[in-house]
Amino acid sequence: MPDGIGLMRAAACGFGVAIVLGVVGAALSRREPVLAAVAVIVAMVWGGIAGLFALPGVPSLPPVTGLDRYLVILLPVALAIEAEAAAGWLDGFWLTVERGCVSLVALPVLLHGSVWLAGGQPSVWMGIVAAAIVLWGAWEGTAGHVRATGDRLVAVVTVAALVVAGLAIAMAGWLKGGVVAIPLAAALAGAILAAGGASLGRRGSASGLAGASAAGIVALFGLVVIGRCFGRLGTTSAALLLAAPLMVTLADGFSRSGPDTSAARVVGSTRYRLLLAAVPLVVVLVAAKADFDTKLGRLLVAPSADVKP
Amino acid sequence: MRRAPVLFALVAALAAGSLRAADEYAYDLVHSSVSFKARFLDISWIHGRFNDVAGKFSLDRQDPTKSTFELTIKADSVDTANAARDEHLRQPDYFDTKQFPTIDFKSTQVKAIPDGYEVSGNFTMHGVTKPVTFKLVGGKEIEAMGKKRVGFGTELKLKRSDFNFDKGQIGAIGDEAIIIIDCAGQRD
Repeated sequence: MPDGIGLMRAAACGFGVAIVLGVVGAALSRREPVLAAVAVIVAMVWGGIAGLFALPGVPSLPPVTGLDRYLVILLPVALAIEAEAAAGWLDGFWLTVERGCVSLVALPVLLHGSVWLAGGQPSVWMGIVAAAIVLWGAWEGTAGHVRATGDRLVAVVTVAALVVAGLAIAMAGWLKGGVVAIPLAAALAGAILAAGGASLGRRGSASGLAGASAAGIVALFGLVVIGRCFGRLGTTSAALLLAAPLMVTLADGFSRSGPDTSAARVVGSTRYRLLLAAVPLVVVLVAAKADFDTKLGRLLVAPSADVKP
Repeated sequence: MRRAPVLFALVAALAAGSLRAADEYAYDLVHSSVSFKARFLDISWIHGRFNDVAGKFSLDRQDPTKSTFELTIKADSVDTANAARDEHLRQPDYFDTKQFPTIDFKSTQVKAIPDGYEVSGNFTMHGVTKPVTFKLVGGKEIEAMGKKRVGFGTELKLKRSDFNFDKGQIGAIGDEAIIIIDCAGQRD
């Protein structure tokens, strides 16, 4: 796995490629908001690929591990659906059906061949259905909310949640699982910056932003699931990580749907929503650091330790 | 008409003889050990063992090529006398025990050699199967504690990189691991 510089290089690749492609795509499709929206998703795809390419051995093919299936099956499928949504190829009903189907198979795909699906007991199927409902709700809710409001904060918090999830997974002992989050988060950051900056205020902007935000939620869900099931990410930490962007969405939805009171204005304010997201993320980070210090930190060996003949 | 019982008796005797020729042994977990060691920073060795192992083997004394050996190791049972390190080893950077719960060996070819057997077979670890050949020393049967017992020992050198372990985690802990198997089998 890369050192700090290698990780920064991967992040820079992901971010750089995503923002350049996003801005160029938006500039080229100035009079075509649909194309501008698709360009945001394409920028995220290529940013992610460029960032992951900078990491050694990620992913390995054929995809026999949870991490590989996450990177080569779940994420591409989610991005393809969001590209369809941005392009307007399918109406809302069929998009909902597609997202529902992918949500239903997400867990079986990520956990394929593992001890988690061995035996096929009723509790396994209940877990799959529960996870599918959570993913479907979060995916649909995020896509719909951002498309309707152009809310950029959800994607920003998703980027932060991806970074914190990666750090928590790495500090819990699965370095490779943790570091992949960094270029993915960087690609999402580049894509939302391109969507927000280059096509500000246009219809395509909200559509592209919605696609990137929704794909980011799927990326976060998948990372948290494999971190929990294959690594040592705790259930509470996994729930808090997923909750952070969802609370931002719910707070904004609450403030918009109710009467225009001072309480609703406070709940809907950027500062309050940022605080709402920051608390669970900081809790996860502090808990991960404490766990690392008491357990794995003592096993660490400096990779640059000199071995003298 | 008298030929039928004679033929039956002959077949029965042959069948009994062939059954006797291949003795089936169950792996004796209490008196066996599967351990390993790997280089640490190329200055010393880290030792560990697997606590949950199962297996069986059949020994055909008349025709050793018909003997078979099988071993199944629960990867989750890795024990290096350090709980934090064991947790780390169970994760996907190393054994990935939730995805690949067992390490298996199944023989495909057995040959008698002066002090035991030369065994070839398929070794599956971390989702990758590789052919391996090793010398299994032992095989002498004794009767003790109400059972017939036989024991074997071997050392096996494997490269983690051959079994698709994360190359990024090969450095401080060396690529090559030596697996030491000392197992006893028992039958009634």
